Amino acid sequence: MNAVLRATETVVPPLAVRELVHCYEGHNVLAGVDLVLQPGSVLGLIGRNGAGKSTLIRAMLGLLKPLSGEATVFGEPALTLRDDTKARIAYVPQQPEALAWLTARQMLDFVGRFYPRWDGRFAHDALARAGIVPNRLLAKLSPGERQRVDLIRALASQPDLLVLDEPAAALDPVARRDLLREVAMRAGESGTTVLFSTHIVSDLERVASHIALLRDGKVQLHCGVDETKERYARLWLPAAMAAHASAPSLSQRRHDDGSLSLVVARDANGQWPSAARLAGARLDTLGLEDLFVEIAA
Amino acid sequence: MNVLLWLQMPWFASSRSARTLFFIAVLAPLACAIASCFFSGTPSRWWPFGLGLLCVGQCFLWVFFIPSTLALAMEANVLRMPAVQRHVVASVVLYGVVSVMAPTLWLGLVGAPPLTVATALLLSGCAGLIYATAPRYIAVMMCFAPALFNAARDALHLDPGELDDPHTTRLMAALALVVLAMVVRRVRWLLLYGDTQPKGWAAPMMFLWRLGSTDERRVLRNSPDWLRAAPDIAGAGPDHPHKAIRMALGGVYIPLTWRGVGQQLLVAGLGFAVMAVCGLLGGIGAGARRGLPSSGVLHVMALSGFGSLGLIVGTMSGFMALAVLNRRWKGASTELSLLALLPKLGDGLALRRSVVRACLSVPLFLQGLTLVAVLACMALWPQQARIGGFALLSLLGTAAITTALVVSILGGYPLGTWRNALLLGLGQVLTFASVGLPWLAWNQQTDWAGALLSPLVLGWLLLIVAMLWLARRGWLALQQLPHPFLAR
Repeated sequence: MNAVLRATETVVPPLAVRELVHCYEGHNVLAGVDLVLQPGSVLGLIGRNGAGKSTLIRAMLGLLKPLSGEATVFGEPALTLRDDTKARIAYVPQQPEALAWLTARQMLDFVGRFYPRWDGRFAHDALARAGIVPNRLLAKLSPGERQRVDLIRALASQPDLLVLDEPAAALDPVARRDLLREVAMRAGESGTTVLFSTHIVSDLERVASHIALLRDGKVQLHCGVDETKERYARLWLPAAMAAHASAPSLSQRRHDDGSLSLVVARDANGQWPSAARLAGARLDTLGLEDLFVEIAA
Repeated sequence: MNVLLWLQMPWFASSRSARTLFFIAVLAPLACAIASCFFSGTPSRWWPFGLGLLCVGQCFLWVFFIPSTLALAMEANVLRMPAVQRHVVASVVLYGVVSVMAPTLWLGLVGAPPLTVATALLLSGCAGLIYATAPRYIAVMMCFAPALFNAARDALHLDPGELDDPHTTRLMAALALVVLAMVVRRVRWLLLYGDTQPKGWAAPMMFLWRLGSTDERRVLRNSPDWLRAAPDIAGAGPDHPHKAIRMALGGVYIPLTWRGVGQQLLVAGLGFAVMAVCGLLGGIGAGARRGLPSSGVLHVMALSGFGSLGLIVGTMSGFMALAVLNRRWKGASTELSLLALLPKLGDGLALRRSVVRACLSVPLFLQGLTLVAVLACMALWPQQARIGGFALLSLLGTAAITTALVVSILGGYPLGTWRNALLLGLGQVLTFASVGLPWLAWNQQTDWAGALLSPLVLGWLLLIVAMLWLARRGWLALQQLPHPFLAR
């Protein structure tokens, strides 16, 4: 019986959204997003500026009410989370400016009181490692230092689900690498599920187990990072063949000479589209960054 | 020569709030001056009043509006764009000439002495610009200048004389030239080295409203540590959710240690103390000129000042609380995200009650203190208890407005900037009427004021009923929300 219960618990996704729609001032930011995070995975959410990554994250966590659709956190509706569930979540916003009127120590002390698994020792040591003066007002820290303090706040609560909105944006390369190491360690050792949005593709390659690409308000691509090279490729068709191309593709770009570049995926049987077999057609393997540029551009 | 560009420059360089302020602070006095001239039977006797209004508008023009172009010129200097700087200087000179010459021409036509008018306008403009460009700590001290002058005029036998007195004009002209020289020197220095200016209290006053005084993080960053209130985080936790919510809301809501409270009272009290002493000295001097005994004047001024201060604090507490809540619940505030995901704050109705309690506690507590101040005045000054009754009514109304606006924000029905301003402005008008009209009716035996007392009471009662309806609507809406920390 216990084994059955445990098995049931493990399949509850830490984060899931279905048909999520949201708009700002008449502009559809999310146009029916479906996304599920598997427990223990590290999902890198990637997309261009204004693609709706932050909005999606906020809707996933119940911080805003979407126009329609459903978001759940550990199986609970995101908009009505219980305290037990909230204690399992840590979220670092894109601009961590909260509680700027407190010192770093006061903020960690204050927030720590609400989390049953708060690791005060970790918070203290991490502040020291980062060289941040604990008695300094948060408002007076540099953006990078603020981000580090907020990451420490998030990690010290020992969450089961860590959500980071562009966590490395203000960090220097050393701090960025520290963060990625910490994220990888948490995911690997504690089974923490991580969702992080970023523009930095190399960060994705370093820690993410999965990626999701957001474009035009939808998740255009969602797969394991290792699968991308196997599953997606750029199909180039010469001008003479471009008119015959009817391949389903993630993106299309016509060049000045009339030739066509498409990002194509293998079908359920592992086959490339038939257009790949046209005369003069060429399939190029894509790195993660090239894939992002091809699809998002 | 691009006159149109020079005229448009302050508009383009101003923030949206500065543009709004332009309409309120600059065009309103001008409109009042034009209207009063139109309705005045004898314009030749009206002009000092009109000039006063125009000087107010002129001063605000050079305090709030023109300095935005100077800030633009400072940035142009940093970006090595000398052409922009040249246009800005031309624009400032053009506005200087137009803002002095046009009103002088107008008032001259209705019989005012042109030299006096031009001198007064020049002095007002220069005073405004020197205030805007001065370091903030000096600008704050400059605010006390009128009160200090008023207090010192009797002790030092300073008599400014009548406005059309040539001696007064010469005095104003000399003063205007001195201030103009200071302005030219200061502006020139700022245009050349403004980017090296220290931040915070040593920065020019104009930066405060150019970037927005509501940017609390910038204000915090630039404030010295000794001025910062010490937050009391001791009790802010899951056991006291309303205190924890206040801590996360920030601003006026931050729970303070006793030391922090004393520190804030000291800082605010110093300014009020200087104003109060200057006001009392000025009042005693004015009373002496009318042959009134100092003790009587002191008694009346102390009590009325105490009561008025209470009313101002009561109203301001509502303003400040609403400003904080509007910022938090508008857009994706990080504090709101933190509160939404913070466990152990409670849920359901209990959480909503904690939020409402936290958000209302500070303004209503301060308004309660005001109530005590007014009651104390009524006890110490029983013959004016009827006036105190009106003050109590206005406090009740102010509390109702604050409650309604706060709960509307929480319930997802923020009234918006203009409606908020309209309601708060109406509250202010009624508050001042509640102090002024009874005083005129019962102490000065003014008939028209007496006739307005019943409509005043009715106005308050109607406003209170409307506010109660708004508050109820907000509370019901708050209960319908999935949680109270949803961003709008």
